[in-house]
Amino acid sequence: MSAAAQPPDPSSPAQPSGSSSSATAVGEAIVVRDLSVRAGSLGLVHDVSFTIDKGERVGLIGESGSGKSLTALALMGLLPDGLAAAGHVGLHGVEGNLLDLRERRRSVLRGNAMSMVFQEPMTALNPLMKVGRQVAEVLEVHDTATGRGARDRAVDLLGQVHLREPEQVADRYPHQLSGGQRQRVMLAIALANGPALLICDEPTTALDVTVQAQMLDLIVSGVEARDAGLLFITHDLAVVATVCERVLVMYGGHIVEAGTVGDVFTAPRHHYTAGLLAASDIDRAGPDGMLPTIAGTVPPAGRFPAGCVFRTRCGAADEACHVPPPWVGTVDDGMACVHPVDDRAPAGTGLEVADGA
Amino acid sequence: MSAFDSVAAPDLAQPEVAAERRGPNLSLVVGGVLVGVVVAAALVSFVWTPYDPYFIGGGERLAGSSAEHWMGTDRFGRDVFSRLLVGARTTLFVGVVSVGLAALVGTPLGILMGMASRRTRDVLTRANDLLLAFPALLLAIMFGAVFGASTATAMIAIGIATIPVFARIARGATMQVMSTEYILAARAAGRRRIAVAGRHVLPNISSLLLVQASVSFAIAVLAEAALSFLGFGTVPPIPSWGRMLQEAQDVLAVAPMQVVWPGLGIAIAVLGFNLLGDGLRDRYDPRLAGHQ
Repeated sequence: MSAAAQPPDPSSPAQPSGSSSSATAVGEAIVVRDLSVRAGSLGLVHDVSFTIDKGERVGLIGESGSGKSLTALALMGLLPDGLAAAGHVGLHGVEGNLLDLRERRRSVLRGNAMSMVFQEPMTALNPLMKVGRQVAEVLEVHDTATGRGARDRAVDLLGQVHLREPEQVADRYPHQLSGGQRQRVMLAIALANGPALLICDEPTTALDVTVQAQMLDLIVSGVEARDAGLLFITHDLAVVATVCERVLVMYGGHIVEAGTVGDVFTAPRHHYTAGLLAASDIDRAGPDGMLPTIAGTVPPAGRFPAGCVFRTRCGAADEACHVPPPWVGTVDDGMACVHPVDDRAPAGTGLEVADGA
Repeated sequence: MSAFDSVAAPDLAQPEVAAERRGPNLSLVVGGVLVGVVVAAALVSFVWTPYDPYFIGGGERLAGSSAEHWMGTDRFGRDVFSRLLVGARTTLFVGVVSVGLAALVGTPLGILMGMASRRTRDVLTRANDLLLAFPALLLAIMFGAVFGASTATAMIAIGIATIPVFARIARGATMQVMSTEYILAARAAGRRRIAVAGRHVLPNISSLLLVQASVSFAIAVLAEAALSFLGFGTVPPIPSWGRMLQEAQDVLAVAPMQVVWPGLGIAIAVLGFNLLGDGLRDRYDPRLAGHQ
């Protein structure tokens, strides 16, 4: 990673390719620069850049279809057949660009240096294997432990995610566990080898609220204990506020705004962020009790408008939005909108908001 | 954690209920009994038959049922019941070998197809469809003509003809399993493709393959009988139900019951394996789980 911050490229919505301002001595868990995902000629994720430091918890929010999960799968190297990722992904402790590594090398990193928890706990475990075996397997695959040692370590891990009687739980099949218990098993598997980066793709969406809070606690404490970076994907803003320190807002395959949770949630700059917040703010409910919504729906992939991807649903859009808005600010704190909400200048950068493009 | 633990406790108490399988269904029971009869006949024939099934000229030819010969004698005076018992061996042997061959070769092929990239899968699938379209009996007759008629030729030919059936079933089931989240999770945990195939895909498609094996077994039994009847399968004097049927055809007018006994054997075996297959499918096929 170069130390020099480059000025934003006005010809594209790409974020700066340079270093993030918040790079610390702790070291980055993951550095993502200009990550794109394409299905043939169809672009699905465009020039996504962000950095997650070790021990840092970052949220990735946006509606369904905005490219959050694809971004995560691209980082893991698990994109479905026919999709290809380009750009630069640097992982803690790994030389060079992850995207250039061969599948064999990447499979060594998965479940080891980086791991992932999926949305649907009911289907994410092999129905024909005891859960203890499934936890032990991830240890054995990466030679962290073998045989009896792997089994003991698996039971230990199941205890760490607060499953009662881990010895007995280890001998159960997934169908004998509840959704919350299965999701804890998934978390135990993901944390087993002490990853530098944990990606959680809507890990609590399928759980009921009481279980959800417990699960979030476990994720935060698990990540903290291992000094791992966390990328937390969700569309639940309250969850992001609970779990994360920083947040990335994604729409139409672009990151439209980035910043600390406090800044972004109290003073959103992008109209999409503002719309998301309004739609979840109970105080803004109208006299009929209806919350404000963002007009329209997320277009299908490939049908996003040219220029600013959000302009067809944005109240502030005008002629200037027909050109892709430049990224204003740093990778960690900035946004891409030519008519930002309240004309608030990007925090901590001293840069003026680019007027037009 | 105490708050959650109280929530989790009832779930932990449930497993016994959840683990309980549905009770046996009618086709499974009837199929199992019929197959059991055939297997028992084959096993009994190893230790006991009323008469030597190959001994010619011992008594009356084409005799009807009697206390000495329960199913009478054939045109050489051999005891039909003894031959029927030994013939069950041939039937089961051919079934086991041909279905075994088809499953051993077809299943890995199918899993390969199911896990390959779309382009490779399409090519392999079309090639498989081509083989699937080739009639099994024609292949077996060709084999018989080239390598000479024998039980081995028949079962290898039947086995080869059944390979694409298994490949197709395994391919479809693999594609279904590959789209599940636990495969993605296994790969996210660092499992290589070959391990995913062996540890996660194969166990999860095995129930479907078991059902297919049972159905293919019935088809193999019928094919062996047909080949032996046509003279391309088991050669005399080894008893085979299809062969016995063919020999009895010549004396149909004189001793009609000679056709009934081997025919009954074939019918019981085919019906048994088909019902067993249906019963297993009802019980294990996840796609039917909601319809019960």
